[in-house]
Amino acid sequence: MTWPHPFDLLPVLLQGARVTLEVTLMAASVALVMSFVVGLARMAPLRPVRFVATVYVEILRGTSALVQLFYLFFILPGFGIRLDPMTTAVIGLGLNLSAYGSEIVRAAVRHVDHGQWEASVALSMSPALALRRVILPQALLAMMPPFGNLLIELLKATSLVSLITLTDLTFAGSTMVASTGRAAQVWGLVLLIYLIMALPLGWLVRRLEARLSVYRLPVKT
Amino acid sequence: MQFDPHFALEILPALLRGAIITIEATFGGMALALVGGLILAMGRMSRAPVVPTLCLGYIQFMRNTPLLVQLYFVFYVLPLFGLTFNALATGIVGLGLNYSAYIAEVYRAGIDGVPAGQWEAAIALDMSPRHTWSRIVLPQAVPPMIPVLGNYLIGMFKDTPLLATITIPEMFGAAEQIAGVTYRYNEPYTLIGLIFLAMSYPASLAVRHFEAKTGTQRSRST
Amino acid sequence: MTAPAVRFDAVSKSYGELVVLDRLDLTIPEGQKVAIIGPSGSGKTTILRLLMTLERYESGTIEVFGDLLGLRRDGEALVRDRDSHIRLIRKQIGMVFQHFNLFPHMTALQNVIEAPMQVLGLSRSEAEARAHELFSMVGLNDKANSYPRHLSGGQQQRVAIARALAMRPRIMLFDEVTSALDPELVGEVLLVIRRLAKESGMTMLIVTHEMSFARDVSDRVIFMEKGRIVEDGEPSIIFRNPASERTRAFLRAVLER
Repeated sequence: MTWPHPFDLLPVLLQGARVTLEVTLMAASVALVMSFVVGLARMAPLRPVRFVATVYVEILRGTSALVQLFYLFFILPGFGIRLDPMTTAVIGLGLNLSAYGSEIVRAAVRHVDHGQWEASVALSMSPALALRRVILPQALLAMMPPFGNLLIELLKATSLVSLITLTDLTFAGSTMVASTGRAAQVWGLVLLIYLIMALPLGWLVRRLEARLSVYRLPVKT
Repeated sequence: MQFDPHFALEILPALLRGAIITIEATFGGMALALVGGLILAMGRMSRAPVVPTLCLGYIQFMRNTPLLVQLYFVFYVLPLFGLTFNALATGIVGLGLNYSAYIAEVYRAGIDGVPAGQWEAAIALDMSPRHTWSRIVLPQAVPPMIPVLGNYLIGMFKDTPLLATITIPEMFGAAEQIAGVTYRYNEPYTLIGLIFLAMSYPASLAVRHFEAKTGTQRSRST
Repeated sequence: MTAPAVRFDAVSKSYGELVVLDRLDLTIPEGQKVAIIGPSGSGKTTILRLLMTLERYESGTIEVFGDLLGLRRDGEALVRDRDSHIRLIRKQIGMVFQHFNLFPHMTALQNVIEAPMQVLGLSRSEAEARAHELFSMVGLNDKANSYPRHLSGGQQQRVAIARALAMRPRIMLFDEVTSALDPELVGEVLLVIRRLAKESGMTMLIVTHEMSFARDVSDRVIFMEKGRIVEDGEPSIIFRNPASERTRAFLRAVLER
């Protein structure tokens, strides 16, 4: 059965969309873990730890994600580390986004009312205990909307992996244009598919934000 | 892959030439985005029937789809409808169209940030709309916007490597070319990484400094 | 003779240019209930915050039951103490705050059992038993499973008192604990503190603006102004016949309301 134009393009494109979602999910996991590691490291009592974390953040935020991907893809092999495109993509995007995610973690923790820290001190809690039982649970709620937005940014950023030969939606689009020449239909459809993937996420984030503003946590005034 | 400082020095001029194109594209794109964003922001506030929805639709579309694909669209598809630009102009158009969707939001947030009481006081003091905007509202709305706009400028600068994919000879494309011909990857990419850092880090420090000075805390992490 | 509960020896603290405590000397024997009154900025809250190690002092020494707080002797010199040792000494002190500072993501019960379980190592049943005892004492038996946002200010503050008492401190600090409450809720909190003062052997430092309460509940009243102690004596004397004109002026202004 042949589909009418432009829908005959869909099967290949949707295959690419699947890879896009795979990369997004895996990179998101990396980014989430590293965001906490680096975010908490930036607030650590030891100066060297803070310094390393700050350098990490400034370098990853100060240079382009595409440059970072190319770096991993082309330069690591020279040091004997040869990663497949998927792994490169997941690590490259995951680390890049964790630089922004760590700022979300840091800001959320700092935004917890100072009185919570003081009460923890008054109850003889160690800083680690206070962080774990009192501060982070409150910060986590505040972190969710910004992380949601970061997820949408990640979804869009995955289009870069097409340039390191990973067969995502954008790569599928390039292939289709090369073989059929129907640039307008292909790119139009590709944009639409990205839109359909991103919009529900955005809607979810807005719902979360609305829910959280009702839950009146004490905020530093 | 050892870093060869001699080779690095050899290729530096070519990379710097690319960097100039990078800067041109960034400022050109930003200028377009500032104007485009204003049009969109005003469109959203318009009282004409379809205009606000169209503007909102445009903004949602541009913010939820990847810049790379938008650039492909501008480069490959617009000429089919008769809109042909040279490569650099295409890049500027692509960046400008994308970022105007974000800057429209900056304008809106900035205006909304001015407390309602200011408008009310202006009305009570019988000020004309033009007077209200120029002397009361804009002076309060604009300072918080500056750090955010600064961050978007830095963000756009970091997006310029994408322009290489539509044949614009900016810095990243120059590095790619050198690597493609010489098979040496370390020097070109490390150098442009450093050039990126050298330009974006001081810029982001300047933005943060400005934020601290004006006491505004509204930086979006881009 | 046992060491006094609290001893400040020439303690000074400034915020930049502003001198908040000026070579303060203060000795409080164990079991004494002390009310500290004075205008804002006089340094009364700073005394509590220094004891609770929420702030650091620049010179002088503070001793808690004879142990140096925050410092240790290194030969002839005094250096900053290790955090673990500071926490050990600080464990004997509890504090109730003006803005309660209850943990909003935990119920009243969870607020009260958290530190006894995590810091003192009590089992859940032990901690809960202690918590219920304290809830009885503060009159909040039926609110144990409520979240702070569902409680009135007075109820929240009483939970905060129970939470602090659950750690069985030897010294309790009260930092203007009724200043943030609506007037009709003040009484219920003061009642709890009165009972505590009457029935326990704890040393209590109470910073307050409630003058009749201060007079009733304390063994000793200290009037502070600009980082210095202006007057220090029995409540009956301070309130009825203060020696200093500044004390008189302050009391006149406050009792005028």
